[in-house]
Amino acid sequence: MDYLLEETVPMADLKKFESKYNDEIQTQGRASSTAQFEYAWCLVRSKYSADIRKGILLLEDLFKNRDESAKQDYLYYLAIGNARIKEYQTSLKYIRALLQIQPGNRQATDLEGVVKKKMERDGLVGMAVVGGATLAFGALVGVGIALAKSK
Amino acid sequence: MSPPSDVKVVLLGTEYCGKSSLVERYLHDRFRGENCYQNTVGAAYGSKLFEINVNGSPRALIMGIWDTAGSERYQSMSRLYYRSARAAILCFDITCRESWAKVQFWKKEVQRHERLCRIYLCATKMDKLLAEDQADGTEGHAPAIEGAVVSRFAQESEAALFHTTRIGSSPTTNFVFHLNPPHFTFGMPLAARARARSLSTESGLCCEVVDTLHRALPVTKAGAHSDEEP
Ligand SMILES: Nc1nc2c(ncn2[C@@H]2O[C@H](COP(=O)(O)OP(=O)(O)O)[C@@H](O)[C@H]2O)c(=O)[nH]1
Ligand SMILES: [Mg+2]
Repeated sequence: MDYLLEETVPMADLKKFESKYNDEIQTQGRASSTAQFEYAWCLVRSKYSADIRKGILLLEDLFKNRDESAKQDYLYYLAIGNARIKEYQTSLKYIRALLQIQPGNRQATDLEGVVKKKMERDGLVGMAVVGGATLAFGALVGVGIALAKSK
Repeated sequence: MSPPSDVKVVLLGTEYCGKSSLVERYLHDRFRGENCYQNTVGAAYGSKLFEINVNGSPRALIMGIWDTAGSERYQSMSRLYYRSARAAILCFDITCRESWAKVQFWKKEVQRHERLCRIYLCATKMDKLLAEDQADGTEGHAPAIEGAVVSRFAQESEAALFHTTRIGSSPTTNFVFHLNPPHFTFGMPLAARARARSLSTESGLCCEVVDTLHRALPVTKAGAHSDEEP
């Protein structure tokens, strides 16, 4: 299962989606949520943590401001991105929010397992806070519940 | 690092047409049931170990199965999922015209980009065509696509045709998916259904896939066969 966090995107693909995203910003002033998601999806799988962080920002923006129907997708890749830069607690929070929307979702529980294993390996189990968690757990779960109710 | 795989198989088809159910049944012998639909995010990977015979000696192969989401959201990224795949199983819901239209699209995509990829066709939810399988006793669905059209398409694409069906009508019975070999008829007559019942998944779809792959694979020395990475 470790591949969930180790898989990287070929640079050529990242570049392709990057220029699509930038082109849209240049021609329309703002990228479509599709282009932004595609680019972010590549970024969180980049080898470079600066890219991953950028991907996380783009996903957070999507999560807060765009397309309700894709929240699960955003949460999943937010969890992947955060785990890849070792923000494990934040990653777990996103996974839990995803599980709030869809209890027992296999992809989410698989990812949870991998993240917890990583934490164990890095000797982080039991620590309350790892790094700067960017979102409060309560707030996020709140969003999850609201979403589940609106379905 | 990519997930381990000697042979990459990808499932393509519209969201909700039954891809994950097929994989779930194939890999874990489970059927989640219609009330517990879980949408797939991006693509989910699963694997199965196979032994094939290479010049008289057994060789283990990992079949890596990529179960894609199928939603429009991932359409532009789909190439990353089917890249270097040796088999693409194009799935469509037999009661849904739109999902059949998408099959044409995937066929063109895959053939254009992946020369070595074999195409398989899988019609899903065949049970819906049969009146007796409807839990509420209603009549069976009319197929959204004519059988002749599907057969012709399969022939043109040199694609073996399979289908999935849910056997059993009440929600309390165990749901079973069967993957049938290419003897495919629409509105399957009862005799065919009885035959389908006795077929295991093992002898169905994936053995056929492996067999085809075996023939198509450049079998390398002792080690795993090397897939050309992008
Ligand atoms: N009646 C019937 N329902 C099916 C069959 N295959 C899948 N389903 C149901 O169709 C829905 C979507 O299935 P899923 O495998 O998640 O579709 P995916 O989005 O293509 O992965 C689920 O509710 C399944 O239970 C089938 O052969 N017959
Ligand atoms: Mg699915």
